[in-house]
Amino acid sequence: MSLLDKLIDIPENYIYLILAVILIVSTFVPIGLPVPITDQTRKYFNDIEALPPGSVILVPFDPSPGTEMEIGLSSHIVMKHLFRKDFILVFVSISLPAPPLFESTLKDENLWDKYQQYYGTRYVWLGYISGAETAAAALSSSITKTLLVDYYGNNLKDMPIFQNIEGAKDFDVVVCVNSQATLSVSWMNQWAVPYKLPLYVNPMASVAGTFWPYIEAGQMTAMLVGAKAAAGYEILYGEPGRATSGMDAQSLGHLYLIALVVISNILFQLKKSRGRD
Amino acid sequence: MSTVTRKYIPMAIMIFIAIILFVDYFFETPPSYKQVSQEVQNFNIIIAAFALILGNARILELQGKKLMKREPEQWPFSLLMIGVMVTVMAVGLIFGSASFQLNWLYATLFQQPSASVFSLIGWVIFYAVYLSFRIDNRQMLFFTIIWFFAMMGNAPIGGAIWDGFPAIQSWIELVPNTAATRGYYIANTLSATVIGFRTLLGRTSMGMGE
Repeated sequence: MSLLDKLIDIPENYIYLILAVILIVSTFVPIGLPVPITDQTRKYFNDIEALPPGSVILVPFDPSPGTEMEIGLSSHIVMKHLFRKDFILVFVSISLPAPPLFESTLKDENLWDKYQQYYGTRYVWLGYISGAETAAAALSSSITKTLLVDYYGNNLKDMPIFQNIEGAKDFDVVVCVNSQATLSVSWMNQWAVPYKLPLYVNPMASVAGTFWPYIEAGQMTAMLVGAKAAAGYEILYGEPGRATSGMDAQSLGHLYLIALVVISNILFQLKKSRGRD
Repeated sequence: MSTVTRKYIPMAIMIFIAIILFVDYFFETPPSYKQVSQEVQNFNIIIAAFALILGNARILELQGKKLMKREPEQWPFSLLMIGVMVTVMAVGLIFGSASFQLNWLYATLFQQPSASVFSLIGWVIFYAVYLSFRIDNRQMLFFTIIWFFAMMGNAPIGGAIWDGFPAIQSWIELVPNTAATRGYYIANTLSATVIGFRTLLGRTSMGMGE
């Protein structure tokens, strides 16, 4: 095997090793590469910021552990933003792996102890409801007729928060923190479109392309796409955190991949031209 | 079982429920009708919850059979799976779904391994891109150029290198991507609508009675 062949078919272990070094070094020794803020991120942040105190927001909370570095990052900063404004928040999940992440998200952001006193008056956690889109539809008609108790077994009808809230008609906004695109679409079908509610979504970067038709049609209002948008949101919020600190690694990882593809193509074309000779 | 029991009664129930929900979604209905629609949806939620139980029972049955037969290279994993399932279910039933014990099991048994496995996909994709993006013909050249601009637009550093990267990436997403995705969605939705109407008219059995 010639040197050229060896270089073209470089073992994956070496590629992974260099990638690991790049990611580890850039994480622990940040170089502060710029983090651009997209129009969608700016719109998402500005719209939430402009909502008046007391706005009633439904937050379908359906991240999964596997998407922690995408949805997890955006969910953390958005939750922090929602809690610190005086909104009325109703959290619910139609995805099985999500419920335990709710508490850990609040605890990670120091919101759990701080806002515990407002449970039942300013926010409530309904937990997981089976049935996926049908559950979203049932909740849109009436939350208290769909569920009797919250995640902790408290009677919903005894909570002050539900004295003025029945179904989707009493909400002002829907903010979806979902790891699956189909779940966001379920909330769009059953809440945002029939009740004309603004819908904000946090998709993974890999599925964001499928949401553009909904954004363009006005069925979704804005989206926060992946870790890069989470970093932009952190900067707009004024508290750069985990997402921002990971941006150097993401930038350098992307540059490394481009360098690999360019080198691989140069070697490949060289090999082809020699083959012709 | 007769065809009536196997096919026509389930179809009648399905059509009845579909009409109730269809009318409630598209028309203004009185509160009494909304109550019926709400009950139907609640019933679906309960059935879905029972389906979860059924799914768990089926997994236990399948893995139990493999364990009893001592299937080579399989039974230790079946044992592990049954052990984990039974433990998690028992902890959930004894201490409750919001308990510290269940959350601890979730964090240690599921959350961290799940995040780790998912992150491995990124590494595999990395190497796959290196291997596959070799320009061998015009189509591949076109594909690689699109990939390059899409990736540089998405990468945080892309905009810092050149303003044009995010602008080009945005155009790719908003124009060709949206056009293609919209076409796909419309075709998909029209197909679902046709299937819905066929179901309402009793023209499709959805596999019932077969």
